[in-house]
Amino acid sequence: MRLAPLQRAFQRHVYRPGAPMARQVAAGPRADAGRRLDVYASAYRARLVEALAEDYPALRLQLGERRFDGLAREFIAAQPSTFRNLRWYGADLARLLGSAPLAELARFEWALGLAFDAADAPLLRGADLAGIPPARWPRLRFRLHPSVQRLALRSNAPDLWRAAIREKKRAAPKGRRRAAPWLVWRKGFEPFYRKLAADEAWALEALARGRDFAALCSGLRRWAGEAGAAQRGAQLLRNWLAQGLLCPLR
Amino acid sequence: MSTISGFGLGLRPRHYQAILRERPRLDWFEALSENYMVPGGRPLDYLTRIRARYPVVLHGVSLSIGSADPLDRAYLKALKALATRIEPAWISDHLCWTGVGGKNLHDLMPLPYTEEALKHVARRVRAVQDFLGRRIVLENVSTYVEYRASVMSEWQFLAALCAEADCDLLLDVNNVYVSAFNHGFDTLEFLDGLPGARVRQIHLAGHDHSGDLIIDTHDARVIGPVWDLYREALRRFGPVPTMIERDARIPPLAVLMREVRHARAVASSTLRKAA
Repeated sequence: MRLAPLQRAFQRHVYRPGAPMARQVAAGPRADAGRRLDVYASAYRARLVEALAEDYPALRLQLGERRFDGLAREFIAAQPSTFRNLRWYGADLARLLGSAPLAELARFEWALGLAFDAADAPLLRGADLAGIPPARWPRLRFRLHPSVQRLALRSNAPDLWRAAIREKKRAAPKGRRRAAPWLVWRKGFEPFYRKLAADEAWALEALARGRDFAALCSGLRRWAGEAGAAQRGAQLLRNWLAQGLLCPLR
Repeated sequence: MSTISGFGLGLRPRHYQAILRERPRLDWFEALSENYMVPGGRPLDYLTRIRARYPVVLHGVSLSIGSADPLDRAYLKALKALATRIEPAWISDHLCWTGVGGKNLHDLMPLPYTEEALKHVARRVRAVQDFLGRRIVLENVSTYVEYRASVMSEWQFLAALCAEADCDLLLDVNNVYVSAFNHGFDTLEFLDGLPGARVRQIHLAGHDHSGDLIIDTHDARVIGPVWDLYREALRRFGPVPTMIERDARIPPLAVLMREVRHARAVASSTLRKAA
């Protein structure tokens, strides 16, 4: 058999072990063709299960090893990897969990992973803003660090994650009626997360859409009133700088 | 191309801090390319800091040099960018394929040793070398099947590939031992068949013996017969840069350093006797 059909047949065998490939393989001194081919088929599953377990340690603890293994194998059967790098294979695992709190735990855990090795970028510092004349402030457009992600969560997924990772314990999954906004980002080399107040979630969304500082402050009137909006805008900006959420101005 | 000599270790995240703190007596590290083909963050920072103190070679698992698919240009671009950043002494990968039809099995799949496969791989090695602007180094993999289609031995294939594509070899001594057991060939015939001047680097690792087959698990110490085979390789190829490779059940750095010291001792006594 020529190279291309041989590789296609072998790959099919790894996905779905069956007879045709065994005809292409010679028996070894101690193991027949079927046994030799099995090494590849079972190693494939074991390797991907292991990669998913590394991506989702909290989900694994919360589900228990056996249920996680079942979930991982279901995912692997449904989704052959098209990634060069195993790092990205598990991105869609949450899809198999539907909209339950555990699906949100998976999304949350994946977001922390993305923050961990998101692109490096310099940070905007307070000193960078010190020299900007007051007249330019309304038109300033801030940029988020590449690690910053915003998630809407209808469950206690972050609590589940913390219990699993920090205390090696399961916690009771709980749903909420309304989604709450959460922030995930990296400071230094550590991923961080926190819940967002409604006005801050709105402001970050506006910022991400490229709205300028005047628009942010103007929108914040909804929560802080006419008198307090500029002050709240300045306060949020100080927090964002301190937490390393922003990149230098263009 | 810059070069390295002496004894190294496969760089693993578990040892990052110990390496920076203890500055172990190692001549170089081998970093797994794909671990650092990420946008940024801690892994790249550690590699950059370790690179500032040690020479590094890059070792990939996803080049898929033997695949019937077209070469993955995006992968090659990312690899080249990493090489520009890290300045490795060389870049290695495996003589294998990892998937076809745009899929990836994330495994080192064996090639049939045919004239067609040889021409195909040689053409691709040359294309990769042109793109990267450097000679690449290819490793013999552990295999569990032999194809009925094969018309030559693995070592004949490797030798012909080096001649045809002007690439170098990473000799994994454990893989020779594993494949020899699984297929019933003579390990010394394998070594004798290699073009010695092409052997740029040596891997030593442990494996899992499951009775009818040996599986290349990299989760255990190097065993006695593999040390013996390493001696045979040294007698033939001289002082080739050698490293210990461990990918699972990774022990503390100090434990692996003992294995590295053993490799040094084995090499110095073997080469002294040979001289």
